[in-house]
Amino acid sequence: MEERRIFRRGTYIYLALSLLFLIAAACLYGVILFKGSSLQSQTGAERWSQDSRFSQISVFLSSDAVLREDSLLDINKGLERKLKEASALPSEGTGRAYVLSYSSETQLNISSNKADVQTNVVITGGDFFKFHPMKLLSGYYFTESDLNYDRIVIDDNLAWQLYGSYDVDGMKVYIAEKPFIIAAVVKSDYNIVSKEIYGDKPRAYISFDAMQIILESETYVTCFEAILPEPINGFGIGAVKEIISSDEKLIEYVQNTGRYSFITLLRKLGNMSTLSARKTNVIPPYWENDARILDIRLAIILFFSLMSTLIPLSFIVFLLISVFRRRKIYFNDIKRIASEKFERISQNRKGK
Amino acid sequence: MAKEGVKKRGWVKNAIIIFLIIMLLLTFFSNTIMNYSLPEVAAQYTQPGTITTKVRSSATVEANQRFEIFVDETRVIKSVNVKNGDAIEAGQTIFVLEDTESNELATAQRTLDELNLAYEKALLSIADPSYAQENQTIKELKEDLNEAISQRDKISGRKEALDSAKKAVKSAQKTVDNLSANLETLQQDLSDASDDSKYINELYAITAAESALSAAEQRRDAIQQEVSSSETSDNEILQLERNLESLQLELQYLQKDFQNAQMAQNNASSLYANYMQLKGNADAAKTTLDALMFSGTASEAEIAAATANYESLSAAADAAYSEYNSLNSSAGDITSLQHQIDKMNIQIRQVREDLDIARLKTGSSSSLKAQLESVKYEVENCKTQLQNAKNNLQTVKNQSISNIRTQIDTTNAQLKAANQSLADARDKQTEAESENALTIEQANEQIKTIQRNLQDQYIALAEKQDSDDLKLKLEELYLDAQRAEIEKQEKIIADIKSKTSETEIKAKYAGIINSISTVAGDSTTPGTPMGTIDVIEKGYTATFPVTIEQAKMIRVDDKAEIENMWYTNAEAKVTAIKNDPANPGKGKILEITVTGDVTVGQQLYFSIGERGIQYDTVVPNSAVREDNNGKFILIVESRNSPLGTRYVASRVDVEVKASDDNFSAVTGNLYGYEFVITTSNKPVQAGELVRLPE
Repeated sequence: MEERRIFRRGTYIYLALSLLFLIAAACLYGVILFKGSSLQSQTGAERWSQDSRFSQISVFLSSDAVLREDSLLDINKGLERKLKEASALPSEGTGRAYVLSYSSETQLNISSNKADVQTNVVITGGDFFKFHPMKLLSGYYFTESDLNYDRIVIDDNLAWQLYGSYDVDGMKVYIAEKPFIIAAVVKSDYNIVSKEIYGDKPRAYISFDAMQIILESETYVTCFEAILPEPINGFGIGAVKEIISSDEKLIEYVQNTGRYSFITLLRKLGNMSTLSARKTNVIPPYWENDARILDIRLAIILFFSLMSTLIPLSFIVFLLISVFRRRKIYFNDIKRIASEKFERISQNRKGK
Repeated sequence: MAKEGVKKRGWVKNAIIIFLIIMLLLTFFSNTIMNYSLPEVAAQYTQPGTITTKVRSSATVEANQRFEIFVDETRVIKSVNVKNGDAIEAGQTIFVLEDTESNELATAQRTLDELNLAYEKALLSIADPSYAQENQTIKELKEDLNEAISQRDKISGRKEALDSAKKAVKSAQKTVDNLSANLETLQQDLSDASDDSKYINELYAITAAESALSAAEQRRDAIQQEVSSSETSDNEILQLERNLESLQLELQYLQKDFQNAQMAQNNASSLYANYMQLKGNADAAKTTLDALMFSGTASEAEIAAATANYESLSAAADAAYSEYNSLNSSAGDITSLQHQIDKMNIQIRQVREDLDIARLKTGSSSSLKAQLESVKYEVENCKTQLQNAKNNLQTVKNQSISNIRTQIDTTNAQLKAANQSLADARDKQTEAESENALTIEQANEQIKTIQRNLQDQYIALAEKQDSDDLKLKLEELYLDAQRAEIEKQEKIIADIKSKTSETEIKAKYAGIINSISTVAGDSTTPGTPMGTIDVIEKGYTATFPVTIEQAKMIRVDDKAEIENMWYTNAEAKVTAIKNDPANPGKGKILEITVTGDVTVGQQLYFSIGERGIQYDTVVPNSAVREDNNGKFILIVESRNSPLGTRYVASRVDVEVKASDDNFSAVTGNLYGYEFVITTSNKPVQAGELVRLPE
């Protein structure tokens, strides 16, 4: 007896390749999903609420935009008004409807009895660490509601340089001969895409109050972040654009939530040539640069993922054409069968 | 074929075996694998505790009292006797100054000179005000008011003036019409005067002359015929010759009278022209007099003058007329004289004829020739007379024309004058009509307006006078102020001069030199401290800013711990909580008094507040989480399963009552022995399985 094959051998190879490419596409897309959801600086909204719609918005400003900390009260009021107009404020007794954070960067000399280190300092306000959770090696973050604002969070690099240990929360460091208490030590390269972006210099975090009251230095806000309710698409970023505005060369708006979704990455893929072009005078902080590198990487991965689906798609098309060609039933047969059935039915009716 | 079937079954068997082994291994290690996939969490039990709120800050120690060293004038420093950090006693010399005049004295002296100059200038510039313009304006307004009042009073007489003006216009018009008619008549006379047929007497004389000429020519002809023969008597001839002589003499007298009469006639014409002119002037004067009398606005003097003028002109005209008349009567004799002359000529001619005849009768042909000659002479005479008669006609004609022309000129002049009078009368009528247009009400309105203007002027003058008085007073005040300024400046100069003698700057209090900001050779600046002394006997102070929330935790007299000093007797206490002027409403300034072994400028680190509040449930700050549903903690709950004990993270909503740097006091649905998750190596959600550290 001869073997019966439905398709030729080449077709089976084509099928195997298609399955392989399909798996590869799915894996690549899985990488996109995984990487996109793992960058914690972009997933604040998801952490804040899993059952309601929220979105995380970031606004990056040039220091020429001169956004002082005092202006944030007006921004807060503006956001409340907007949310009230959209009936998005929660009822009393539940948690906060929105979370805000603002920051800036500078360089300061931080010293201990042992060493004096030039450090990148992030000046924070609001719930900064809710937007940028870090791996705590010791201690805990400071918050805005703390009674004393002489607390500082340092990374492991700085802790090692100043004291030679990571378990140094509660100890003192000095900035401009003013003492600060170490609140926590965090891992330096935790949850970052590119170590080059984070840099080799150690990093520390102090509050705006510490900068203004203790160090008596005025600093302008260069990064404003918010997690806002999103009753409809684009509500959050629209509200922020209305409330915080400046010259278009001095400000950039980013919707973090959904940044790595399929459609957004596809759009970025289309604009790949201009993604790296600098259109404003804004210098974004390291976490935003990190996120932009991830934008490009995931867009490239999406490209390969889409390319990988071409072969399975072509196989499906080929399969459909083959099945159609090999059909045993033709359109006339279908017509004949249908008309026989119809006659039978009408005869049965007449008989009744 | 059977071998192939065995091969296929063998392959399936192997695949199943491998699959089962894998499943067994996975099952065997499932717990371990699952454990490693779970987030690892650190947890601790909730417990009662104390939340301590301490306010920390650092501040620099300052002396309670700092004394600044000043000099009130610009002087040069000779030497500085101390340096920073030196302890000094009260009265100790700190600076030595050069013994020279200060810049302030020179400046003050200049200022005094300028003030004096300004004062003198101010004295000179004060001038008495003048109101001549205003007074003049008031005077003019008063005159206008009087004029308006008199105008109002005259309104009643204006109607009569208008009527008399109208009458004057009528009378002038009549005079013009009459003169125009006279002119026409004279024009007609002029055209008549050109016609020879009007001069009858002259024509008669011409006719007579022509007939005499004709007769003489006839006689001449006759004589010529009688030349040949005739006889005259000597006596007849003598008589005739005497007659002839007397007639010729008489003729001469007549011709002389005639010439005189002609001259008189010429004079009469010029007198007539003069008379007409005078008459015209008299008429014009009459018209003027009438107009004045009828206008009612002319004064008596004017009327008297006009009347006198008219009378004099009238008298002159009458005199001219009587003169003319007397001359004219003598001119009237001209015609009869002419007749007499003609008659005489005829008589002379007749005598001559008789003489000739007589001569002829007695004479020879030579006498006839003589007769003939005399007849020829007569003929010539007749021709001459004819010519004279013709000339006379022409002369009379010319004279008549000239007279008429003179009359025409005179009449034209009179007409012109009359037209002028008519125009004047019409102007007066118009004026009277316009004056008449002004009613009593309008006149009263005008008077009111003028009165108001006058009142305004009075008020303006009074205001100006008041304002000028005020200016004067202000100027006096200004002068007084300037005098006071001058006196003050003189005192300042005296003050400065008295201080110039001081060359040493001494310390007022004992203390420690905090800073010296000048060196020898520098010039001092008034008002700028040259140095500062910390007066240590008054104690030390440290100040630093705090927030409102921090200020709420602190009370006056709270003890402040100095955290960066050990084994010291230094003590600190809160002495004041003040408002922060740099941060109004948002911050306070905490003032701490420091005693003991400290120095000015030392940096101290303070920690204030020892009060701690006991709470039932205290958790580490890292255990408190927050999302849109509020703050919560995750507790570890254990569950038994066939595969062993499983740990689940459960959410408990809490409220944070208080917190410090490390712990937070919470309240919620807690029993007091919950195992609270503090940290984890991965994000943990409520309901997720977790594992505890081994």
